[in-house]
Amino acid sequence: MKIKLRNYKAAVVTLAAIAVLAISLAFTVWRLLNVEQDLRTEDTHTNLWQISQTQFEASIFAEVLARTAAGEAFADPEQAPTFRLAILISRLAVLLEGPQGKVIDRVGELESLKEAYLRLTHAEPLLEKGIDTRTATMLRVQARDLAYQLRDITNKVTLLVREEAMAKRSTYLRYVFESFAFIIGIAVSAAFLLVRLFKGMQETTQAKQLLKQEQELSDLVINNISDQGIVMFDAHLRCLLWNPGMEDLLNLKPDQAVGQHMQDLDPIFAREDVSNSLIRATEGMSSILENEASSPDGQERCLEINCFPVYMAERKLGIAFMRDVTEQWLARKQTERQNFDLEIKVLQRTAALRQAERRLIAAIKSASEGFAAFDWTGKLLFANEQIWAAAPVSLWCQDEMDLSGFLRCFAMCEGADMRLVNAQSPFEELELDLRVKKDTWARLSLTKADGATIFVRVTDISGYKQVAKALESALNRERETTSAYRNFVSMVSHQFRTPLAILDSSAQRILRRGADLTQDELVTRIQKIRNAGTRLTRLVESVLNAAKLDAGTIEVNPASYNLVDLVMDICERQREVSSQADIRFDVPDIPVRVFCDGMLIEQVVVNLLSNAIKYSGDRPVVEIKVWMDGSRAFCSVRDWGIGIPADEVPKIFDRFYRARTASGIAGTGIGLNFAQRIMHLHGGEIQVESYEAAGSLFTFDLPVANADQTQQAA
Amino acid sequence: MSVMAFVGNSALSYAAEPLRPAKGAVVLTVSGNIEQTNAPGRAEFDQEMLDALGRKTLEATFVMSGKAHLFDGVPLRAILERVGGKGSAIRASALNDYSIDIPWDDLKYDPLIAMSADGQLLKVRDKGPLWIVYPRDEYSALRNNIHDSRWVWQLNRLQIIPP
Repeated sequence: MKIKLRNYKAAVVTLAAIAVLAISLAFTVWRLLNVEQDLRTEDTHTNLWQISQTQFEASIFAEVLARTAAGEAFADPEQAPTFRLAILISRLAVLLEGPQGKVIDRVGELESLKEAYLRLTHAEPLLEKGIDTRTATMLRVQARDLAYQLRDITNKVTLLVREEAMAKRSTYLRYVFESFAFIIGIAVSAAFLLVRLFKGMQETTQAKQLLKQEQELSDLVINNISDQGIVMFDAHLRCLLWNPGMEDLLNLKPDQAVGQHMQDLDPIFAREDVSNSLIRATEGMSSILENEASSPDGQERCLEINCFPVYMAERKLGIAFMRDVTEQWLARKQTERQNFDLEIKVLQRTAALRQAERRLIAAIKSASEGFAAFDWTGKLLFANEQIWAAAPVSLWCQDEMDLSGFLRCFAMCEGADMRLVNAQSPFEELELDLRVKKDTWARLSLTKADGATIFVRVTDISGYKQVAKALESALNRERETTSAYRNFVSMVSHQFRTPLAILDSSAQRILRRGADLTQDELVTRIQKIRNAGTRLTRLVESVLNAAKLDAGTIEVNPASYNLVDLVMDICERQREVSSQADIRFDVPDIPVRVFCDGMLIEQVVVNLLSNAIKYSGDRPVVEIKVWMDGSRAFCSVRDWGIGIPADEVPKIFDRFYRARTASGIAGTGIGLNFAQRIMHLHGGEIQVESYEAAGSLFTFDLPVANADQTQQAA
Repeated sequence: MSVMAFVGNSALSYAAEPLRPAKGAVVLTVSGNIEQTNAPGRAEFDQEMLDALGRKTLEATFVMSGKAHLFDGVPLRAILERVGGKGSAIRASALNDYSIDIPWDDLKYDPLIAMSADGQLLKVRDKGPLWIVYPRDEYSALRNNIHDSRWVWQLNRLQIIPP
């Protein structure tokens, strides 16, 4: 590149020198041509000669006229005035019309000369007719004046010419200097070109010398490389060089080979591909090829032939390097065979692997659980139908889903946490139980295999969850029961002990006093014993009921009843027990048919009624109401007793729970719980509305029995 | 044209014939190395004798005026042949005593001895009666001062200078 740039610069400089030379030469020649033109056009001598000739003729004419005036006769016609006038006029005409006219005009004498010409022309006819002495004398004066005038013109022209010559000389001097300058330019550029030429020749000589040295060196190298054959050839494939390496390879001495056609040297060069490569090398294209053949001793061998173009001394030549590569070739063949075996093995293994993969995919597809595989960046690799069908996936996920999107589908399910929302590569293993639908639970598990593939499994665990839930509720019930019995035991120890103590103390008193007892006292004692007995009986009953309920042995035997009759009967019986109570009714006239187990509902009503009386002090007032609303029948029991504190209202149906306002009043805390559970068994519920120290309102509802059932019951 | 042809033919027939004496005014005198004479040592031509040699026209530019004129006259060569003149040069002299040597070689340009220009017969006062004109416009070799000075007007004498 540098050399090229230098060459380029040198060429530009040379061209510039040549241009300077040419321009200088052209300008100098042009200047010289200018001078030549000038010299040609300015014929000053001719001008002066013409004028002086005319002047001479005018003088001759004047002399002839003088002789005429003197009366001389002219023997020679060429001496006659007419002839001389004609000559003079012709001379004047030449002066006026030729280039002399312009010169005369420049000295300002043209007009007067023209006048003289006219006067002479007018004189011509006078002379033709014959002239008298006087006229001749006058004409002579004119002719003489013309001669004088012409003499003056000569003087003036001479002076003019001199002036002009002065100016011309200075111009020519300038031209000379200019030409000199350009000649210097010519000399300098020519010298430069000569120097350049000389240098170029020197360089060429040096280059030739270098080339020769290089050639010698390469010959030396080529001839001393014996492990590689080197052959050079020209475009006609004539061998130019044959090194000892070739001799070893092909058993041919250099003196036998050089100058021969390559094809004739060895059959290897006659092969089409080899000879083509050799020809291509001479055309400027490199190529490499391998030739498998048998060596002269009959063994298999492989020769590598590298063909390259060579430019030497302006000739397109080719060079070929030949090497025995039999060992490499055999090794390669061996490798190729092994590779082929390996490839077949790989194919077989691949097929087996494919089959295994297909089986696996089939298994995954037929699996009941959802399965998907993602790569470590979260890109979906595979997903079976079940995973697509999974509730949130089918709702939220598109075909192009990645693991993050997939996990976010589940983020809204119950049991999800922020790990699903924030899941990013690299993903962490996780396992979550999620409620994907109302009664469907799924276990979502994310596991990593080999640190690259991520497997996601969605398993339906609804059944398991149900069982777990059932187990949990059973366990809870068990716990509840245990605690209930613990409470029960503590309650019983208190509630049962009181009547038992009454029984014992009354029996002791009767025993101690014996016959001293009065009748009244005895009656009182016995009455006390009886009351305690009744109370115990009731306690036992309620405990039994609760036990039955817990054991699930209470059977509901529904039938059609008139709720009004049912309530009225119960109230009649209650009046007998609690005569102090004021029980009021608000019931419809028509029967209210309900579908229930009469025995159990009686328990409920008795419980509510006895509670109302029990917690209403000395003068209890109870109001019982029955009504229907649509397909439900309602019954309410209202009192104006001690009421229940607002914060305790939700708890009063808990077993063994007793409101703090109820302290001091006997009770087990079983009754309301029992009643509520009976109502639940009927598909109804006891509602409570209560205000402390203001009273309570308990309402329960039952389904109305339809006509068919009524008839059936009847 | 037919007259011209006739004159041309008769000119050839004259070549060896002796020259008759001039009857009219002599317009041209040829002297020097000549074979035919009609006066002592010279050949004299009157206008009629010149016309008999065959006329020719030539258009040429006169260098003094720079104008082209159609000249009509006798070829110089015809006159020299008629008198059997042979030499190295022809000394042409004029009425105004101008004189110049025309090399024999110039005959190859076939100069004309004009007697009229643009149909006007040449008189002494306008460069007549004879005027040597060269075909200046046809040959560039003729366009220089030396040849221009050979345009001898008011010609009246020719002298053949022997080699």
